[in-house]
Amino acid sequence: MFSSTIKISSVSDYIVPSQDCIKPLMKNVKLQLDDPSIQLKPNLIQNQNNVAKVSLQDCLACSGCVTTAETILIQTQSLEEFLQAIKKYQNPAIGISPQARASLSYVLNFTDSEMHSILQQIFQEMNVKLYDMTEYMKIAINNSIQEFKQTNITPLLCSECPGWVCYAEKTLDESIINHMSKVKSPQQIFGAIQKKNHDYIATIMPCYDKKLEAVRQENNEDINIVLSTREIEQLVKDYIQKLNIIPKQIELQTMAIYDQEYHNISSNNYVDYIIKSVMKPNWTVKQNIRKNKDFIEITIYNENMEQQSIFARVFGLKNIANLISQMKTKTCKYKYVEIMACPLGCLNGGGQIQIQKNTEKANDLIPKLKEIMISQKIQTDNQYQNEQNMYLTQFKHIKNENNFQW
Amino acid sequence: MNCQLLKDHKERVWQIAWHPNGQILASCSSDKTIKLWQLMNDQYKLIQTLDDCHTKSVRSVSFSKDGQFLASGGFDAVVGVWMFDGSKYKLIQQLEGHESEVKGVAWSVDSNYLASCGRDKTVWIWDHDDLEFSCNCVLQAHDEDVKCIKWKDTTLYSGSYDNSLIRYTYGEDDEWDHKQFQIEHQSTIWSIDIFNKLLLTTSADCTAKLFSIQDGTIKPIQTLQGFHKEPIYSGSFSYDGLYFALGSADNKISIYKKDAIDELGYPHFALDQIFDAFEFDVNCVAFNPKNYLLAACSDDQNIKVFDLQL
Repeated sequence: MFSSTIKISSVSDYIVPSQDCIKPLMKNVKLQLDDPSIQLKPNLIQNQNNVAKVSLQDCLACSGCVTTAETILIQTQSLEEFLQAIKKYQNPAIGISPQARASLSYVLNFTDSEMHSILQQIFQEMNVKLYDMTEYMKIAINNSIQEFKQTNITPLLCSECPGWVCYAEKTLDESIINHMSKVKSPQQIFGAIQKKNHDYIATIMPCYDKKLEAVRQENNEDINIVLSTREIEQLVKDYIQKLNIIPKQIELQTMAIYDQEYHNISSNNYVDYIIKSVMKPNWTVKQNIRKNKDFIEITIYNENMEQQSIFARVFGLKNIANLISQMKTKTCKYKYVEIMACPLGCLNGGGQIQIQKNTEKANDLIPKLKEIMISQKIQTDNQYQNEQNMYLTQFKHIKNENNFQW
Repeated sequence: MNCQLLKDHKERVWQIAWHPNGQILASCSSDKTIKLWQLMNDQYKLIQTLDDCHTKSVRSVSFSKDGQFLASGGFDAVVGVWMFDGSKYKLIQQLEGHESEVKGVAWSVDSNYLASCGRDKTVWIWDHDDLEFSCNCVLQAHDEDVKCIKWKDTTLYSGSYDNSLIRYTYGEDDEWDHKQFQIEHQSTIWSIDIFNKLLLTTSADCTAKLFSIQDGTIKPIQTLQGFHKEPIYSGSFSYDGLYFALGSADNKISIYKKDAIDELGYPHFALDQIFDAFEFDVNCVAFNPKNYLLAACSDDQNIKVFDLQL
């Protein structure tokens, strides 16, 4: 479900009555708990109509409530919630990430283009317009290149992964957080752009962590709901049967680049595009495994084989910890790092359709999903263009003052 | 019975650990320090205070099997690593990554791996290259606070607030596999100790349990109950496996002696003695690796080394 970075930084397992709920319904609970003669009565927070309101945002900012953020999130961003909502809105839209679509294609045995065509028809039936995310990934990549060219910060850390962002904001201080790229994710760019055309916007993502991203205050509810691949699997199967859908061959674009040995499309090639923007004619690139296959260093050499700069791709909590350790001891020599919370990247996200552990391992599945992602696609013109519009967000350290327990 | 009092910590002492040579004892405390005590002329003298690593309580401390390294885990979420430089232990690295309090640290037998566990429900395995430690793996198998970890060679066991025991083994595809065992403790598993094929758990359910860990199984052999009416925080086997000690929140220590072997070859233990050890909770007991000296520490800020004369 959620990535390991979310799970490790989630709400306390020990609920201390003295911790204040961020929207306290009962004040001074601690003082009253010890005295059995006092009847606890909620004194409602000041609000009109005596209605107490707690928003999801409030809960996520707090760390002392009776249930975890995860549970709340799953309930309010469920498929049922989506199906109810689209009945109420005039003009809903849904965007699907290439990783989510590849997972569906694999399990349902279609090509990626066929899958997209099928989904288009299914959502059309529900009065929802389906978007491919390629166009928004292109903006995110271009913005990232622009930011990279203009920054002095080294290393610049890709912040597209909400699992990484949540971990960073909760466990790291400003000295590391300041290294994070401020470019919005393709999901949020999609929301920011399409909200003028649609009154309800959903996305289908390979993980649950994207749900957390959608509810961030900075994102202004541009995205109303995020569904993971696995949450819509049954719906898609049901509709295919019900509507007797015939898939059409449609032309899909892709931002995925895979012509170099070091390219990895699993998480949208961020570092590969940054490297491309730096390369000059006759320059070469070499990759090496830093610690394991999810921590790769990529070095650029000029025409005289002199080292120019080093980049890295870091997947998984253990490697994130090692990267942070390098940064804290000032031994980090990378210019840009593509950081993702999930080992093997987004194709292996916690919301992807679950593979049977005893018949197929992630290591075997991911290459198959990559094949699906790139097959029969038209390469988008991905030459870097100086985008006028930068879609930016911000991050901050969240203080976590729990009482500890033995 | 003879008993030496080691008094210098300013707050509760959480754990003690013996150096493999049996001459040096490490202790760690809520006073944020680790103290090293050495046996000199039959007296324990404080030889080092390590106060340059933790900014909160130090919860766990452990020597590597060859004595070269000392590791510590703190409520500040830091794992400290010290190395012996010929005369002193020097801090060589502070490992960060745990999101909350570290509850246990333990070295694998070959010192290749250091494991740490904590309230963030995870077990981290660290390895090192040229004395530079980095994270090898983060294991999120427990549902609650992980209280203790113990290696048997290169297999790792952990116990948790979720009442279960989990065993971790290094698999062929470069990953750590794990298996969870519901071993019928009714509450938190506070400590694990291992002697050969015998595994001892102690629990907040006021019992201790013995298991055989032969052949990749965990087979219950005996439950020790009724001796303590409060949580048993720590258990420790003697160097020869003939005895084990338990330390409890009831301020007492109990000692058990192997008194029989059953028809399947499994040992049976019986109570040998039980005594008041401290003014407050006994947090940790540890038998000397070479003799029947038993070190113990308490919430009352004291450390005692008992000469049990067994």
